[in-house]
Amino acid sequence: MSATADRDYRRRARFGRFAFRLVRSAGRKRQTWLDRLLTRLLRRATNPKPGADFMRDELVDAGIGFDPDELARYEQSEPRGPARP
Amino acid sequence: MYLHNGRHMHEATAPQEKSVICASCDIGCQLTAEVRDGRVTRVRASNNPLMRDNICMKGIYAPKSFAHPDRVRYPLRRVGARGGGQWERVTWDAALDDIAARLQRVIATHGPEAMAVATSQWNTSTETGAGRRLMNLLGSPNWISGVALCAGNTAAVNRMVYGWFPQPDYSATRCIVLFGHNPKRHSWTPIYNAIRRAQERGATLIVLDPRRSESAERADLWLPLRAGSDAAMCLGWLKVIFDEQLYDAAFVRDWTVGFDDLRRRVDEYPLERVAALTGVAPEQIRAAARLYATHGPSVIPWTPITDQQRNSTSAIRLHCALRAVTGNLYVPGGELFHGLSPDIVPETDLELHEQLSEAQKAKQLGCDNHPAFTYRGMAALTEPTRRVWGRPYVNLLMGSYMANPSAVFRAMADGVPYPVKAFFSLGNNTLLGFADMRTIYRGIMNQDLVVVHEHMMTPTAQLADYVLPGDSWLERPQLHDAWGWTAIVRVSEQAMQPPGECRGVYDFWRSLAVRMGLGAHFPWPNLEAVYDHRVRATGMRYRDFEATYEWYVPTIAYRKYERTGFATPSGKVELASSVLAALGFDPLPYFREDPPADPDYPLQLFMGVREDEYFQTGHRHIPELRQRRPEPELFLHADDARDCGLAHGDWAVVETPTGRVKGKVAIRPDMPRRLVRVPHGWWKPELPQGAEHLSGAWEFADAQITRDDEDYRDREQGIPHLKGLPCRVRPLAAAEAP
Repeated sequence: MSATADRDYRRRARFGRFAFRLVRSAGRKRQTWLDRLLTRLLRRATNPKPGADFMRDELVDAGIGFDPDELARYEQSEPRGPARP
Repeated sequence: MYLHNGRHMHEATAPQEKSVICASCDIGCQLTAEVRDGRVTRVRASNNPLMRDNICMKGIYAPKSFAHPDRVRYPLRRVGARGGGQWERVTWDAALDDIAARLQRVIATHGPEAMAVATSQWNTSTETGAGRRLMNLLGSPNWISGVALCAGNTAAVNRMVYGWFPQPDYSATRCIVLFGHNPKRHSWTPIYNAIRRAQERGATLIVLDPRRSESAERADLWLPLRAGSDAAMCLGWLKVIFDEQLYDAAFVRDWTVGFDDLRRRVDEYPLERVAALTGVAPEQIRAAARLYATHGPSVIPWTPITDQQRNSTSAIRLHCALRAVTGNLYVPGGELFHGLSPDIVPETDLELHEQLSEAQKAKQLGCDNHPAFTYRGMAALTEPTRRVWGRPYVNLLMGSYMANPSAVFRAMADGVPYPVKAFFSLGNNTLLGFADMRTIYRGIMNQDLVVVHEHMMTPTAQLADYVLPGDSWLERPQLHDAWGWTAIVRVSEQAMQPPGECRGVYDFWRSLAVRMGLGAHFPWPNLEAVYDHRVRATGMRYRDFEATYEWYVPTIAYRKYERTGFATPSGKVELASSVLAALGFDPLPYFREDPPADPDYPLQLFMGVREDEYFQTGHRHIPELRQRRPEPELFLHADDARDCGLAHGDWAVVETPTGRVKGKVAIRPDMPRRLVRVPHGWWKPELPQGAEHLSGAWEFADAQITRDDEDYRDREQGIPHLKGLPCRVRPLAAAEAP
């Protein structure tokens, strides 16, 4: 491996280890102040560019949910398929 | 239904939130479940920045799916003839007592190998090794799964080359290569998200796909290769990389074996030949190979397309060879070997593979002719795996110690080489999930005992002796490490109680083990006790672990091989495989050309592909998803449709020598000439049940047209060819109307 390639690898490895550190902090529900700081960093780093958010989606963004009573009625309604005991 | 941001918002207090892992498909998105009045009323993407936006429509409609009025909520016992559609409700105890007694009779008569299990733990999620544990203690090696065709087989073949199955590091990669894979907003969502983010950062995307897929549309380079020609294309890439000295010479010298042999094999594939085999021009092949080799670190993520071809083993090995010779293994931005979490007991340790005798392992069905992912195929990796990963058995992605599914179905149907007479199908609609549905059907009908653990009365369940009600991913806790694929262990909280008498698979296997006299080997009375055992090295009990972590991340090592070598017999990347050579196969990857064309079947099938709304054979019962895609659609090029006398929206029949299947024609501009895409896993839960009807499976299930003969099987794995199988299409006659 050339000296340049080795430097590049070491730089990327440092970044990789730091990225795993961010992931570790973001995965903690009980966070220390450092975890909170690193999670904020992660949030900022992963924020989509305004107006270019490829994950926006009509169905997802509709925030679809169900009323608990509606679900209970649905669950107890007549079977949709062929009759079973 | 309410819309969170608008009308009908429930007026109650703020919902309780639970962090859950979706098992509606095999990706495992970390989601947030909102709970009101003891019910999950909404599932949405996690607030965690790492998981942001990772949700699809299958997760969103999960509360509706699990509340379906037809869900199996109580144990059912068959009344009358198998497949007659008559059932009676029984207690769990009565069902388990009878199942245990009948299983003991089968074992006493035919031996323990007469028990076979088909399951998909991506769906059931919480076995924690219990099913394999019981099988290994009883003495049966005949465990099968859909992972034989999807990722599990890839993991096993990867292990033969370099001892593990890597994860692509999307966060730092500069070049992504998709072999036919097409992650979308509502399919493989986190992968789609990761690829799009990488592209935003400036990463290059190369797509190889006969279809002009959504991913192809976004690619920097699209190679419309012929379906099923992945191995030939990889040989072409290696030809360019070797001839132009674009490989990592130091890594090849120090950490590979068989380079010269591979190079000679690659020299048999000049670009003109590769162009003829793949249908892609030499200059495009050259450009893509150069881009991959020089714009790294690069990744070739797992793909369900290369998994399912008659040259699958060779193509997977060639992916491995490309990763290795270009220096992309174990490096940031390349392909990472996570290993197992050092602090969490992996499921593989709980499966007790060492308890199964060598004599019983040797009886594993299919291991004689197609050993790649069987005990026999993996045996040479036992000691290397112990050396590098600290344990002799690593059942990576559940795919390392499987029987061959087709061999199991033949044994069930015909008793050859020995009878299989007790069949368990858990979260796995077996009848529709593998090749040659008629043989599977004959096999199930020929059983002394069939037990199905399910949510819905699937076609497979309709043929069972017992249908047991399964819990869902909202109704159970889970520790998730993708069966060893990642060392990051994630936690899914139980968000609600299961309805009726629904239970998880761990509970089922343990209850059966107790009745089989093996309770002492299952000292954990419930799932939480197993998890206590698994997380004990963290110094916590599971409840505390769950309250502390959403995911638990160890330190990931780069270039670990410099300390340990690779987990292969040679300790190096085996470009020429000593494992396959010892098994009697060509140690070098190759491309087996198609059998001579049959004029009766002038078109080619592209199968095994999921639709956004559904995963495998599931979800057709969800009204909102069914409304979006009510019928199985056959994708065709406009000219092919015209040649077959078909127009958009017509019903048509696709035929192979094995069988036929119906579908509605969808003329698509993204389809190339001569290729017909048939969707996977169709049945209609609302149609009549029982052996005669199988809720429409006899009309729509693609497993009927999948060939299962040596010409169209991968040699080493024995899996069917789903990409490029000859077929014909004709209009549906009036008498055949669905």
